[in-house]
Amino acid sequence: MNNPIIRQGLRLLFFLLVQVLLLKQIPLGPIGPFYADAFVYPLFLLLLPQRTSLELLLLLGFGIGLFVDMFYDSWGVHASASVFLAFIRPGMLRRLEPKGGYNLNYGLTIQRFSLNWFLRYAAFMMLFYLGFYYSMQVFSPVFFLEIIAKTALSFVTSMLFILILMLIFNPLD
Amino acid sequence: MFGLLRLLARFGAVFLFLFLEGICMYLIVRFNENQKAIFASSASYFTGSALNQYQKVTRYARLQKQVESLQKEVSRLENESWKMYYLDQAKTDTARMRLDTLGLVPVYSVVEAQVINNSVSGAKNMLTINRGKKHGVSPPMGVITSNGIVGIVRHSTEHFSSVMSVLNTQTRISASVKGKGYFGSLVWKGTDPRHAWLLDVPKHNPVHPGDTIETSGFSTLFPKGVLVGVVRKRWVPSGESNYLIQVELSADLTHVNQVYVVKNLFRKEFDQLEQLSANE
Repeated sequence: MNNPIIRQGLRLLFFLLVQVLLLKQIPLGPIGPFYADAFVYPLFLLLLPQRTSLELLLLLGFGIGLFVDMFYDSWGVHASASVFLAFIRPGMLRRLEPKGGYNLNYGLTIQRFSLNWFLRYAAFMMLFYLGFYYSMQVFSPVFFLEIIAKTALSFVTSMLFILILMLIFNPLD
Repeated sequence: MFGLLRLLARFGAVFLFLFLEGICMYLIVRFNENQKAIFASSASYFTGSALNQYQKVTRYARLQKQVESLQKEVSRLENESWKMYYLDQAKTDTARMRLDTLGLVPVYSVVEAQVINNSVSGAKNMLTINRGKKHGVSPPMGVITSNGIVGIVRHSTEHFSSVMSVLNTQTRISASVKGKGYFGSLVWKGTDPRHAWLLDVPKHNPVHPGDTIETSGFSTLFPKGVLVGVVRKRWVPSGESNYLIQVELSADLTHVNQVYVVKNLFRKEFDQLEQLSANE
C-alpha cells in the first residue's frame, strides 16, 4: 500500500465501481421535471498530487471518461467532460493557491489543506465539470435552461456524495 | 525545427487537450442518437439557408434569360397543347370537332419548378427542385425543360423534391429515334455532362448522325416526343447486335434552372393495368 501508483490505482478502481455499480443504478428524482445524477469519479482527478503533469491528467481523464461512458452508453460525453476537467485543473489551483503555497508532492486532500479549502476547490471544479457534461449531453444551446437546472441539481447530489466519501476515508494523499 | 519543438513543449498539453476533445466530439456525434440528430439538423440548417441565399443572388443574374425561355415555352405549349389531350369520347366526325364540346380530358399536366441545387460532376448526380407533395409532385415523375429532359423525381417532401438527373449512372429512360420509331434505353456512363448513350437499338435499323432522339412515351414518366438530343456518333461494337449511339443532350444540365415536372393524370390507371397484367 506504500507504492503511490498502486494506491492511486486502487482508489481509481473503487471510484469507478461506486460510480457505475452504485450511483448509476440509483435514480435520484425526479426533482421537478428533471432527474439528478451524482458523479464521484471526477474526485480521482481532483485528488491527484499537484506535480502530476497536465498531459498525464488529460490522458487519465480521457481514459476514465471513456470507461464510464461504456457503462452510461454515452460515447464521448463523460470523456469530453473529464478531459475538460483535467485541462482546467492547473489554472484553478493557481487561483486557489493558499498563503503558504503548495507542496508539489502533496495530494489535494482535506488532511493536507483544510475542509474549507477543499470544499471550495471541489465545488468550483464540479460546477465546471457538470456544466460541460450537461452541455455535451444536451448538445444544443436551445436547451440552456435545462443545462442550468440539471447542473444545479446534480451539483448538490454530487457534492454530497463526494463529501461523504472524503469524510469516511479522509485520505492523506 | 527547433522552434517547432519548443512550441510543442510549451503548448503540447493544449494540443493534447484539443486533440482529445476532438476525438470526444467525433464519438459524441457518431454514436449518440440525440446529439447526432442535433448536429445533422444544425449542419443542414446552415448549409440549406446558405444555398437559398446563393440562389436568390444568382436568380437575378439569370432573369432575362429565364423570361426569354419562358416566353418560348409558353408559345410552344400553345402550339402543341393538342398533343397533351386525350379524346374522351370516341367521335369519328372530325370535321365538327370543337374543344369545348368534345369533352377533352388532359393526359398530362405540368408543374413549373425552380432548380435550387444541382450537381453534374459526380457519377450519381441529383437535383433538388422547389416543388413537393404540396404541389402534387410525387415520385416517379419526369422532369423536363423547354429544350430537353432533365431527370426523374425520386423523393418528395412537403415542399421539395430530389430529382435523379439524366446524368446519373442509374437512370434509364426509354427513347426513340424521331420519325422512325425504333427505341432503346438512354443511359449515362459518367464523366461527360454533354453526352449520353442510347443502347439496345438493333443494328438492322438505319440510324445516322444528326438524327433527333426523343422520348418514346412508353412509360408514364414522359409524354411522347419530348426532345432528348441529337445523334453524334454511332457504331456497332464487334460481336454485338445492337448499336452504341452517342447522343448529344439538348438540355444543358450544367445551366438548368426553370424546369417542368410532368404529371400523368392517368398514372394510377396505368399502374393498375400493369398490375393486372403482371398478376396473370
